[in-house]
Amino acid sequence: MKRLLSTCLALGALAGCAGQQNGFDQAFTKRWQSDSGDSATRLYERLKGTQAPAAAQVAVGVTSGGLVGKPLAEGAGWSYAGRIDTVPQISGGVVAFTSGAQIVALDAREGTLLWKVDAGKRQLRGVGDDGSVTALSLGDAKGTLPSQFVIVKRDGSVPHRYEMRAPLGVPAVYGGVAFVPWDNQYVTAIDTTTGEEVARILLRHQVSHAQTIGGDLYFGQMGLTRFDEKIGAAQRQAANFLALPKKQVPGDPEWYKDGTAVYTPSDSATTKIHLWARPAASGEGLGVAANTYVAGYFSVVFGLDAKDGSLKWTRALGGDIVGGAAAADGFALCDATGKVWGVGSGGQAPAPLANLGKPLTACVVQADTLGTSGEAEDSVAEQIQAVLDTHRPSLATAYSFLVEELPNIQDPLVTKILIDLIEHPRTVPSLAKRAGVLLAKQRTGVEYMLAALERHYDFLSGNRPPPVGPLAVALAAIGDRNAAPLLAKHLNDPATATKDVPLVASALAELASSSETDELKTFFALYRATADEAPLVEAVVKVAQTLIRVGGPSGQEMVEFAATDPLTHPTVRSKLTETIYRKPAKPAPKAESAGKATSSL
Amino acid sequence: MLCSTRHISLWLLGLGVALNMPISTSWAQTSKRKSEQQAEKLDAAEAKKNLQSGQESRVIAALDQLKQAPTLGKPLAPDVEALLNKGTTLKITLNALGVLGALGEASSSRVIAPYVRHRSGPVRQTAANALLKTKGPDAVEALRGALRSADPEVRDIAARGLGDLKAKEVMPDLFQSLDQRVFAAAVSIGKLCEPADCMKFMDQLKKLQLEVITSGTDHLLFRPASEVDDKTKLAVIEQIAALRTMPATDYLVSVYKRLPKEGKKALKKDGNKSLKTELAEIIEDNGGDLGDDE
Repeated sequence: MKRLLSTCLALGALAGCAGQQNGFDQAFTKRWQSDSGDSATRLYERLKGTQAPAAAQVAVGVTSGGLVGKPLAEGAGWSYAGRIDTVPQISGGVVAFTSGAQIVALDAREGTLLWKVDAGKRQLRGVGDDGSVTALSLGDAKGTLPSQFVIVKRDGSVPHRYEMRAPLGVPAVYGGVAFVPWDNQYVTAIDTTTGEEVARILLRHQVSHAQTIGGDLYFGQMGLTRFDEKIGAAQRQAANFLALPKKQVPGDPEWYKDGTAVYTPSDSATTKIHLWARPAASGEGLGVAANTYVAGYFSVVFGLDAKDGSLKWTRALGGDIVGGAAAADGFALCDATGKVWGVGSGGQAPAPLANLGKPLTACVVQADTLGTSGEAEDSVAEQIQAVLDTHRPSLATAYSFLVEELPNIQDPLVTKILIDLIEHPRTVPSLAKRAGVLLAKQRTGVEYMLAALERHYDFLSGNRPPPVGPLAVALAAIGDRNAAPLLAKHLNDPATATKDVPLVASALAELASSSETDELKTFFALYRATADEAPLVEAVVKVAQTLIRVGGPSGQEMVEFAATDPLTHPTVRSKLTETIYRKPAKPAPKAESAGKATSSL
Repeated sequence: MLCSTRHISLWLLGLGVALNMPISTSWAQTSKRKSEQQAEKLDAAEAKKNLQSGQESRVIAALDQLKQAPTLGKPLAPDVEALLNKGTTLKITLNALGVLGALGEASSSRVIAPYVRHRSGPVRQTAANALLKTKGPDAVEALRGALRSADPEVRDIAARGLGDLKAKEVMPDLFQSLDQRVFAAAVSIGKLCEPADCMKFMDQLKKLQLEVITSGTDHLLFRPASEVDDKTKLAVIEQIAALRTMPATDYLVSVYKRLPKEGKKALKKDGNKSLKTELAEIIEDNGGDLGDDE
C-alpha cells in the first residue's frame, strides 16, 4: 500500500504539515477502486485478536466553570477548571474537549492532564483512543474550514495532522489502527504509526461514527455495523448490522448524532434528547443488549423493546437528563443536578451511581456494566402514572407519548391514570381530550370509573368534575348498572360539560332502572322547554325515551304532555312525537290495551 | 277574597287578645296586612286559568299579577309550582321562580331547589334568591349545596342568605366558604354564630380585610344577648380595637352610635359596666371621637 499520509513530528510544525500531505487527499478521495471488501477482511483477520483496553467507567459533566468527573464505582471525583467549548468525549481512558485554541485531553478516571494540542482554529468533533494513541477529528462549527485529522501520542506529540475537504466523523483507534468515517459512507483505516491507509470499508448506510463498545468495533450513525468476520461484505449489505426500530418517540432523538458536526454544551437539543442502546451479540448476528434501548427526553426516560419499539418501562429523574450511556445490563443517566443514575434494563427504579456535586449543562458517561439485574418492582402502568404525576409543562410531548402507550397495557390501573390525568388542573386541554377518547374505550377498571363518578364539582373542597362523558360511554359499553344512579346525578349537575350530557343520557338509556326515575324527570322538566343547545336537545329526547321505558305511567304521562305542550322546545316536541309513535307495541294483542296505546298518542 | 282576608284579620286580632299579646302589636300587624291586601287586586280564578293556559303570554301575565298581589296570590302557589314541576320556557321559569319567592311559601322550596342546579346562570341565581324567601329545610339543603356551586353568584347568594334561614348546621360550610374567599359568608356567620364560632370568626381578622369582618360583626354585635352574650361581644370589640387603625376605630364609633341609648343603664344590675360603656372607653383609649351622641 502506498504511503498516503505525511507526518508531522512536532506540534510546532503544524503550518508546514498542512502543506506536506502528499497522497493523503487520495486516501479520502472518492476516486477509489473498490476492492470488494478484501482489505477490510484482511484487516479484520489481522486485528481480530486485539484486546481493547477496558474502558473507564466514568461520568464527566460540564459545569459553569469547567468539568467534574467521577468513576461510577469506587474512586474519588475530580474537577477541571477551564473553558469548555465542546461537549467532551470519552474514549477508553481519555476525555477530550475543545478549550479555546486547544484540544485538551484528561485522564478520564483521575482528571489529570494528559496533553494539550493546537486546535488549528477548529473544534473537536470526535476522539478515539486505544490506550496508547489518540485520534482526533476536528472541524469548525460553520463547516467552512477543511477537516483535520490528528494523531496524538500519550506524550502529547503529534506525529500526524492532516487537512482534507471531506467531512470527517468521529474516529476510533483499535489495535493501533485509526478508523476514520468520512463522507457519510466510508471508513478509512489508517495505521497510526506509519500513517498509511491499510483498508477502506464502504458502508451502505450513513456512517459518521467509529466506536469501540465492549471490546468490539462498530461503524455507523443511523445503525451500527460491527467490524467482524463479515465486514468485507459490508458494501453488499451483508455485514452484521444493527438498527433500532423506527419508533416515533418524543423529540425524535437520534442514537448517534451527525459525527461531522460540532456540539456545544449549551445545545440542549443535543444533550437532553437522545437514544442509548448497546449492541451485543445475538445468536449469530447482532442485537441490542437485554433487547432494550432507551430514549431520553428532558427528565423522562423511556425503556423500549429493541425489536418493535414498544414501551417496556419509563422513569422520571429529578432533573433533565444531560447525558448517558448504555451498559450491558442497564443505562447510566446523568441529570442536570449532577446526579448519575443507574436504571436496569428491566426498568428498575433509578439507583444512584455517582454524584458529580454540581449543576451540569452536559454530561458524558462511559459504562460497560452497572451491576443491575432483575425486574422492576412496579408495573409499567404505575411507572407511567408516576411520570404523568410530575405535571411539568415542558414534558407535554412525553406525556402524550405515554398516554398513547396506555391502551397497549392490560392493567385496570390504566383507567385510573386516564381519569386522574383528565381531572388534573395542570393537564393541557389537548392531552385531556385525548385521554378522554382513550378512557371511553377502556373496558377494565370499572371500580375506578364508579369511584370517579361518585365525585362532583365542589367549590369548597376543590374537587373538579370527573370525565363524565367518557365514563358514561365506557360504562354503557361494559353494561354496569351500578353506574346508573351515579350517572343520573351527573345528568342534573350543571358542572357536567354540555357535550357530555347526551353521552350520559345515552348511557342511562342502556343502564337506568325505575330507581333513576326522579332524576330523569327532573332533567326532563328542567330542559324540555329551555334546551337551547343541540346536545341538550339530544339529551332531553334520549331521557324521554328512557322515561318511557323505566318511568312508569307518571313518566310516560310527563313525556306525552310535553309532546303536546306548545311551550316545549319545537325540536324536542317533534322528536318526542316521533319517539312516542315509535314506541314498540305492547305484546298483548288485546283490544283494550291497544286502545290505551292509541289514546296515549 | 277581600272579605275573607278581613275575617282572617279579625280572627288574628282575636287570637292576639286570647294569647294576651299587646293589642297594639297584634293590631298593628293585622292592620299592616290588611292595608297590603287592600292595595292588592287579584282575580284568582282568572289567574289560575291563565297559569294553566299553556300560552306563554298568558302565563306571564298571570305571574305578573301574582307578583303584584303576593298575599292574595298565596293560594295559587301550587299552580305556579306545577309550572316548574312540569318544566316550562326560560321566560316563564324565571318569572315563576320570582313569584314563588314573593309568595314565600315554604312548600315551594322543594320545587325550586332543582333549579339552583339549572344550566342557565340566571335561572340558578333567581332560584337561589327565591329560596331565601320561601325558606324551610328544603331551602337550607339546596342553598347549602349552592355554597359548592361553580357559579360565584349562586355561592354569594347562598353564603349571604343562609344566615337569615337560621341554618346553624351550615356553620362549618360557611367557614369553609370564607376560607375560599366567599366573603358574603361573613354576613351569615355574624348572624348565626354561637360565642365559640364568633371568636373563631374573629380569628380571620388576621387574614381578611376589616370590611369583610365588619360585614359579620355588624350583625353579631347587634344580636340579642340571649344569642350572643356581652362578654363575647366585648371580646369581638377588643379584637377590632387591637388593630389600632383609624378604620377600625371609626367602625367601633359607628357601632357605638348604633347601639341603643342607655341612660341609667350604663351600669348593669351586677355593677359591671354596660357593653356600650365599655365600648366608649375602648374608643377613647384608641383616640376615637364619640361626638355628642349621649
